[in-house]
Amino acid sequence: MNVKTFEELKLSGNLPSPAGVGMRILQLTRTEDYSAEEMGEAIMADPSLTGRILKLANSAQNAGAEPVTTVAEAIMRLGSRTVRDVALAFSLVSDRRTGACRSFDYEKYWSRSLARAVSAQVASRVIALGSPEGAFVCGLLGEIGKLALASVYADKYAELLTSEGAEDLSRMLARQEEEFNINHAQVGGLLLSEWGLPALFSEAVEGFCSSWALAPEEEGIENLTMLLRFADVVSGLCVADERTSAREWVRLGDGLTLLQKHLGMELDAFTRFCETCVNEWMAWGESLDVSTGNDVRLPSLLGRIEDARKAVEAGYDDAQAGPEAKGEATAVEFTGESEERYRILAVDDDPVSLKVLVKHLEQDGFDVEVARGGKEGLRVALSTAPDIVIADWEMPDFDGLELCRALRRTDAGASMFFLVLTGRTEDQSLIEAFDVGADDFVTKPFVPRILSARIKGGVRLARMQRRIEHDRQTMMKQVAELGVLTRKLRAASLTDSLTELPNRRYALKRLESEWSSVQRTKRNLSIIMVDIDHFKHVNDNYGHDVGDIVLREVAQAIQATVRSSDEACRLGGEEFLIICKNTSEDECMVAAERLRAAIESHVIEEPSFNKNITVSLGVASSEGGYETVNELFKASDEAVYLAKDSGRNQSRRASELVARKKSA
Amino acid sequence: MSAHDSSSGPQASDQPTIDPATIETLLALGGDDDPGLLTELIDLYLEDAGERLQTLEAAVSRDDVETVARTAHALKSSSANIGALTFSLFCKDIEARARNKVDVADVADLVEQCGSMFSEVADVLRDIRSSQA
Repeated sequence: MNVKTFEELKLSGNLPSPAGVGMRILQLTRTEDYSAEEMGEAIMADPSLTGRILKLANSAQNAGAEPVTTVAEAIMRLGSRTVRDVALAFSLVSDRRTGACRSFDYEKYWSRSLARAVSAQVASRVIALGSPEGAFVCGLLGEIGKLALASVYADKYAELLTSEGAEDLSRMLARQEEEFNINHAQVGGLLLSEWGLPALFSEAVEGFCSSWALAPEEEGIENLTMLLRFADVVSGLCVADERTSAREWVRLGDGLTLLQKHLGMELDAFTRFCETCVNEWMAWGESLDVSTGNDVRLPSLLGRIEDARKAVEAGYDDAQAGPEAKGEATAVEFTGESEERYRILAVDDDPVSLKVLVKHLEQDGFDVEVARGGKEGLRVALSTAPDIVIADWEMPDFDGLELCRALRRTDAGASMFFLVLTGRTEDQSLIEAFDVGADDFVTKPFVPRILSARIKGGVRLARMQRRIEHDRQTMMKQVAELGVLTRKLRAASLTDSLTELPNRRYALKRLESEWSSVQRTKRNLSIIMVDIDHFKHVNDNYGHDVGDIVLREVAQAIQATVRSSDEACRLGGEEFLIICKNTSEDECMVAAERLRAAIESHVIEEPSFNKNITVSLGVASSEGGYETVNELFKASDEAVYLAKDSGRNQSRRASELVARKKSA
Repeated sequence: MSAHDSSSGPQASDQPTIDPATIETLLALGGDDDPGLLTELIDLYLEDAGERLQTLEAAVSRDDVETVARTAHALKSSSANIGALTFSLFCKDIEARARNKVDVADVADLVEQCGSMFSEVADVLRDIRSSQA
């Protein structure tokens, strides 16, 4: 189901996506025959990206090697695949720095992601697991699913973040599934594969997000998923602050102790390891313009963890909001449109003119901010987001037109109504002002009545703009909510209500689409048809209630036994179908036998029944050379009959039938 | 009719040093809500214009016509705002000459006159200010 949900999320148009060069690289690598040179050229179009890639290439531990100085060399050293992944990951960081989800702390999100990235990279080097650059990419994008949910379901996700139990991961995942029909772990995994990152990465990211469980001391860090979970512990400590609950401190502290054991380091060495992570984090933070907070050092961290442990033991475990829920942000309410007070920024280097202007504006009922020059004006405009900017043209250093041009290049500044004050009245000057994006001008010294009239025009526009923006947001929200509803309805129409497995309709649709992908990819597809033995007997002798219980228990046994890539459905009555992608007939027979044995050994603990039942299974595979999907389906059905005829409680292959027919 | 046409200096103009109508407008702008506005504006102007005048003189001494033009422009606007219309016109003339890059010595003469003219403007404004208090 989640793949479908994800397709609908994509339609919302709000999912994070690589920006600028990242997008070009993505398009480039989607074509089969791109060259490393082409990709190098795309990267070099962005100097800051180039710098970051060189930095990463040089941070590899072969200290004796010549430093990498060009993108081409970086590609040679790291491989074009890695450079591509890294470039994509970086372009995502530059994209989403702020957003509509009130309770989502975007800054902290990136700060922690970056800390996770470097910790995963450093740890990957220490334990020689996978490629350090790959670990970096996975760390950076590890929780991209959260960002995606915050972008698509801004309000609903904000509610989840501030609700009770928000710091409990498994509860959060369950709530997300309830609310969105998909959780952030799944969204993350799907996004990574959408961007063409290796399957290993998307699986690791999904696995990492699904649980906090850490490998116990005797097991070791054996895969990327586990590496990410440990890197996440380090990153959690990097960004921990006064909003972090004592319980969270203790959890992270325990993880850190475990990590030290896995790395087999004495305290000295481990302190150096942590220092390397923090130093790298800060250096990258500067390079990517991501905040990295205070200098975190292991001894002080250990102190905080110890304090938290004592607090929890003494019962003072404060139930605070989750790590990324912004305490103070929830208090800031969206200023509704009912209260339409417009804010104007007045920019003039001449204090007398500025004062007179401000006085006029205040008398007209506006909230006024001031700036004594173009540069200050830009800063104030971007931090206070006024509806209207009135700026003097003639200012030293950074004049009104430069301010206008700079603002028009930003998202927030593009929609501000910009009015230029000028002593110049020649047509050419005014054309110049309109060319850089000014909306209107007023000549100096201004006549108050005319200024007021012009501002009213601006206000009308600002009001319209605000309404359009509000409508757009409402619409996007409705689209997203409608999506959830449609998905729930669709899920219901494709789900069997008794067993909660996908129903026959879904099974046949899936089978058809898998069949057509088999035709394209030449991979194997196998199916198992399952039929409960003597089910009529159960219904007749124990009643339909017990029959239903048997069906449910069998469904659960199937669900628990099949691999995660297999899809189990209820075809109707006592018949089930399991679709096994990328599976040969032999492998499928093994799976069928495992399932048969599991069901046979399972006692159905219903007081009036209290015994096991058995099933007959028929396996058919695309290896059998069937012409259509119907033939495949029919073959598995015939194999079930063969199993029944041969005494039930067994698995048989459809290929046996073909062989028999031939020999007959 | 610009000030430099008169060879006998600033006093030759028929205009009053400070335009009473502008002062009236500024007083009205402050109204009953903000009776101190005019005083505040005068203080702002005196401080700002004083600094700019120094900038102007320094720029002339190092033949920096660009800064002369820009500073004269700024003085022109703020002086007009406070009602020093004659002085404002005088600054406008300096700005125009500096932009046309005429003989620097010529501009230097005008800037010198500018200083004494500003002292007069400042005196009148201080009188108005104290009559307000």
